[in-house]
Amino acid sequence: MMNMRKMTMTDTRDNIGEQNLRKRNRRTLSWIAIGLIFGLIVGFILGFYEEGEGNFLTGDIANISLDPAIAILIAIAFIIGLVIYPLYTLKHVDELEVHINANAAAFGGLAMLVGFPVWQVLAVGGLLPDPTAIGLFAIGFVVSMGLYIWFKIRA
Amino acid sequence: MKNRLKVLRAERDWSQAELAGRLDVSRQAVNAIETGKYDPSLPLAFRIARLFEQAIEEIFDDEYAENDND
Repeated sequence: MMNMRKMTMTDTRDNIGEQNLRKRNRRTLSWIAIGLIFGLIVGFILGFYEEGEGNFLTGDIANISLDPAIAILIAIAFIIGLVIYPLYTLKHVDELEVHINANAAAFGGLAMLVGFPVWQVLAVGGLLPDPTAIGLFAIGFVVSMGLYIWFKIRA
Repeated sequence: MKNRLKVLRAERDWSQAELAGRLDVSRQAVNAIETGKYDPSLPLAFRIARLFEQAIEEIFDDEYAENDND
């Protein structure tokens, strides 16, 4: 990376920057594609192996059963897909992208923290059903993704 | 933060993509810096200064300098 940067900084050839940018964009797109394929595979495995009447998406998790080995495999996949892979890719994007990602993730986490007591008190008041783990996860995810897109458009 | 990035880029007849590639950042980052929506980190500011062979303060406007001197 440093060698490429030095070469780029001093290179007087025309369009060397645009060539580097095209390579950079291709690399970014390949990371996104890998992430999507990984997510699809994990989702497919989860959907294929889950048993029982419950459903992850409706929050009826108590009625789902999963083979322990598959559960461990999927838990590891979640950690890789939601923590390790994003952190690895953030080391290879520019600082604006890191800035946008960090802000979006912070607000997503805040939405989950605030979401639970707000949702719970509304449930106690009879206005909403009781909070569910998947519902809180969805709040964090939607807020994080929504703000990421908003920050990207505004930048 | 105001800066002369757009002027310096135009003097060399570089597109935003050309400058982005030379700085190893995205085109969006160059645009955000040029329009003052994003202030670059110190390492990136140094890279910009090195690329244009100018001091950082010749490229970026220190808007707090006048207040500090009062």
